[in-house]
Amino acid sequence: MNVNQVYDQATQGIQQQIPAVQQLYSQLIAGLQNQGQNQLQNTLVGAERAGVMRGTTADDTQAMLNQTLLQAQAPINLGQVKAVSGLQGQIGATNVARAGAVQQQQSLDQQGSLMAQQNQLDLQSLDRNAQVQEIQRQRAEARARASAAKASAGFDLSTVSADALSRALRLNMNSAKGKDGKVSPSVLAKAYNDWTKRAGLPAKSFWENFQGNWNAKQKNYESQFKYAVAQGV
Amino acid sequence: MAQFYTQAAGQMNPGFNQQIKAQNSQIPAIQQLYQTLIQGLQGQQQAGQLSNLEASSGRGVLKSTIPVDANNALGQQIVQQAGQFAAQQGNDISGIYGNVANLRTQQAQGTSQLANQYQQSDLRQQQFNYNQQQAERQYQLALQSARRS
Repeated sequence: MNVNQVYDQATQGIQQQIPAVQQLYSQLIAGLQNQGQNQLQNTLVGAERAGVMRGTTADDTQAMLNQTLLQAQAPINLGQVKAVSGLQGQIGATNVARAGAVQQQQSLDQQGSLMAQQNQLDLQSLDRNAQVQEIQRQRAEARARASAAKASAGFDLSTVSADALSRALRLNMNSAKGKDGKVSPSVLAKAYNDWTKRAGLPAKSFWENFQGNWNAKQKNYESQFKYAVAQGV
Repeated sequence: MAQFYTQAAGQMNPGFNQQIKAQNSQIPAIQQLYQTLIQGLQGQQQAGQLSNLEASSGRGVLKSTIPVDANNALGQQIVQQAGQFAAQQGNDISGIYGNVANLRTQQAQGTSQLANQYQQSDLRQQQFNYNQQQAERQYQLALQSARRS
């Protein structure tokens, strides 16, 4: 059962009342006419019995009766018209109510459909956000690893502290030491360049930071360094 | 959404059908009432005719047109009165039909509104299920993310 079937039942039920109303009024009119005919017969019998029947008595009585019936039937006919039009008006009102109900039904159906679609979209959005967050997390991890690698390699010096830079350069130069325990001039020159130009630290502090550590193991540290700088490495 | 209308009709129909039946049951009573009124009118007519005849007889004009005319005039009035009764009977019964028609419209509206309420309730349940589904998905995704990191 749906909205239209419910309203169809209502309008059909009302529609079926129209013939019943018409039949009712037909019976009422017929009853009145019978009443009139009885009256005509009654008058004619009375005239006959009284011996006053004239040639025109029947016609005169019938004419008077017709006029009376005409007057009496008018309100009945009017009542029939009002009753039938009232029922038709009720069918009209029912159809108006049906239109509203159909619209409301469609609105609810649409609301349900939109809710289902919204749910699907929300679920998709959750999945996609999770995918994006996972990618961002993986990239952040990769960046952190790269940053750590760079920092440990002594390449990203502008944002680190002098202590961190010192440690990084020390590690770098340690790893670059040869079998003889010496650091090549090119490594030294690059470390100096990073210290002074990229990190913006004074050259004196570079020397102070590394001289003590290296003098013990590397006697020619200073000469190698000066030579490398002079070579423009 | 047929199930909502079927459910609503099952709820609404017994009450409305009972009211419609009660309205319709008044029609024979109204017809009986007017039939009684008409019979009373006819009784009055007979009494009036007899009175006319007796009066004419008393005045020695029984064999004249006087009682015939008087009875005819009375008969015309009776027909007029019967016509008024018929019109009134028609109005009364039409009123009953109008009430029944109105009830049928209300029955359809009531069924429709109740079905809508059932459907709205179902929509709220669906929305709750969707929310639950989304919360479960969020939890599962957060769990996966936590396990990876």
